[in-house]
Amino acid sequence: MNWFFVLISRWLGADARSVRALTRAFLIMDLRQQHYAAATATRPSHLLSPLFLVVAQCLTMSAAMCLILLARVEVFFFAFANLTLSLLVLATTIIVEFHEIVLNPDDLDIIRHRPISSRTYTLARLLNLGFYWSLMYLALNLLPILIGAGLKDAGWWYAPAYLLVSGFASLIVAALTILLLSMISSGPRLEAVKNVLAWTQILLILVVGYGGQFMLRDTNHAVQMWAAKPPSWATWIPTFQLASLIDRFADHPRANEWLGIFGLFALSSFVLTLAAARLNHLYANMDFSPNRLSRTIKMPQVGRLTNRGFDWLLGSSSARLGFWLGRVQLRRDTNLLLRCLLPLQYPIALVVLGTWTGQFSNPCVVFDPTRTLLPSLAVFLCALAVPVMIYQLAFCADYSGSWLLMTGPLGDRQGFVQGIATALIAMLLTPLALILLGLLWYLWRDESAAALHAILAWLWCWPAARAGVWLVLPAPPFSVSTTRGVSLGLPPLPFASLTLLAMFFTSLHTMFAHLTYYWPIALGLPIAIWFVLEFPAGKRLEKLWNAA
Amino acid sequence: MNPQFRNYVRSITGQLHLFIAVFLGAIALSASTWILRPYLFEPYIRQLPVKSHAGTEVLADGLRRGVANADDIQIAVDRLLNKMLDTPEAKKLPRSPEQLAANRVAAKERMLPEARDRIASSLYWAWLDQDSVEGNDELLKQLLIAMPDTIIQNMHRTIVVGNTQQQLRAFRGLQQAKRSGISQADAVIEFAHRKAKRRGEQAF
Repeated sequence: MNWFFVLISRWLGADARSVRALTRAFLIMDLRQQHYAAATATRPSHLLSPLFLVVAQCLTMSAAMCLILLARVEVFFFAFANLTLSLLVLATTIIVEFHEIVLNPDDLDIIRHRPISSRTYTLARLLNLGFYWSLMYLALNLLPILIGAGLKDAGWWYAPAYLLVSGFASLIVAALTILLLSMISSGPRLEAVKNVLAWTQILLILVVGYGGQFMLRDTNHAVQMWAAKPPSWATWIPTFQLASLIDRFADHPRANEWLGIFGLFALSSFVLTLAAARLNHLYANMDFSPNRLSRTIKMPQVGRLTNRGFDWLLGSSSARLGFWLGRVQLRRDTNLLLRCLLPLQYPIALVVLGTWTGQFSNPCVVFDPTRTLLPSLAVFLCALAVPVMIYQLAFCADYSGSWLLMTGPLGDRQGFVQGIATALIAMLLTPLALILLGLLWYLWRDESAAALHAILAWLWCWPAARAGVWLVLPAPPFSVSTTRGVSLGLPPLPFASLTLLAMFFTSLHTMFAHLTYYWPIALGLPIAIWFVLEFPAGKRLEKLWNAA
Repeated sequence: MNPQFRNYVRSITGQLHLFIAVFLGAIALSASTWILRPYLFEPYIRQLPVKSHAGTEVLADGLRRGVANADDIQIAVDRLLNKMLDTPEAKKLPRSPEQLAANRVAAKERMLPEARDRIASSLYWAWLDQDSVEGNDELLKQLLIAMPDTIIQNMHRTIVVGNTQQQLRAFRGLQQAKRSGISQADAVIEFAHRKAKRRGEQAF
């Protein structure tokens, strides 16, 4: 085996020993990176690596999809749904989570001065990528292959057909994603694409989690009917064609189906060769600039820090500084922005699910909890997203510059953090409240009820931000390095308490929203709680700053 | 936890073994679904009951005994439509009596298909939810006269999502529809044959 590896490496123009050492180093770096240890700056008491969590998450998603669909749909739709999920997750995972293993600018600091040829580095990186691809492929396709083989209409050819089609399609998607990432030349453009694609992950979590619920409860069986008689536009979806190929192959493979499989093989080989050549070219020139953003900030003039009309809302200069820094970091650190956007999936999912299932009635008019629970919950889940965002604010790509914050003459630390929270609310939650206003107005045809609900959601964001600082902020803002899977490491107990509180207020809202005298209390309560939480949040910040 | 075990799990070998254990667990899960499919999954596969509306049980019974006919189905649709127009949401919209009248006419037009669909589904469910698989009866005959397209759509849905008994009953109903000269039934019958053949079921 060893001689074969040496032979292949030599044939590809790489040094076998260096390739082996580099690949091992890459694997060790990724497997040993302890999520909780690095992310929370505490002792490494957790055993599971972030990579393991990501793989387990993919496996869970795939298992949920398979178990929901088992015995309910035919082979075609089973393959279509699983392939679509698998390929989208694979692409977005490579882009959002693992793009460092393809083009990691930090490698330059370690290997630039060593005699490592670009081909050696390319081969090691491709082997590293192959390891990830294998893990992700297995996590996303193992269950569809095995569970799908147990479908009543799956013949003996189903498993080999799914294995071949999903394998080649996954290789094509991985190679195309790498090519795309490496070809988008400028940093901001790449970040914009990442932004868009990361929303696909949010959409997928929504589809599997809530779509499954929808499918099981829907008396019209809309999903199964769609699967039985798909519309003509669906044939344009690439996974539709792949699923059709699996379906035909599983039934009885003929020459056309074998030709289709061979075509996929040829295409995957071609795209892989292109991706390898492109990477080799990039490594040969050591041009990692496509992924390397400038870490400098265009600083405003001293004493001229403006916040586009928000200064009147921010009392102290520390708050203005916090607002400015929050705004800048959310713009330049896409990872931070995405982690902050992630908790918004829940209210969005509730709105979509409630609208689909006809359970999104106006609580001011209808007194029927089965129809008004979801809109009430959506209002409070908007606020519940804020503590998650506050938690994520601690982790930042520019954490190494946080010593400036710790040692700088920051007069009002609470005002500073309040400024960051204000930036968060202004940039993310105010637009969400406006979208909610428009949507509720459209759905309910009742502008006053829509406005009241949107204002209530927005008002609750403020005490939720202070509760987040008090209960979940693990370190001063932007002071801890971010590692893969950081968004999963939320402290469970405070979040369980906050969730219970949100459910309690949801119940009250469902019961009393149709009463006029409920609204002054409902709108006044978040303001009162905001003032009450000032003291514990301030005390917590002092503690965090002193510990840092 | 034993420090030696902790160190082992944190090593490269330990982490790789963790992955292997998880994938073996996935294989075990798959094997369990093959074994448990008839007990844990298939019993829950059925067309879900449709919410019945006030009076539809009585109407279904009347249609079954031959004391009601297709005209009574239209009356039931109108009754449900009026009920839908009296909901608080529908009442809240208009601001004046003129708006109320205009709005009611518009709402009636908008809500008519939904009312027809609800009554059809409700009566179809009353026909489908029988112990016998034989579907040739007076209730179905009247339904096919009053709203053939909607009933064939419902039968198609049953063939797609129903359990064996529901599918058989729907299939018998489709055959009756074909005998009655409803051409839309042909495509659904062909679909049902194709599905059964692919699944190795000989019942149709």
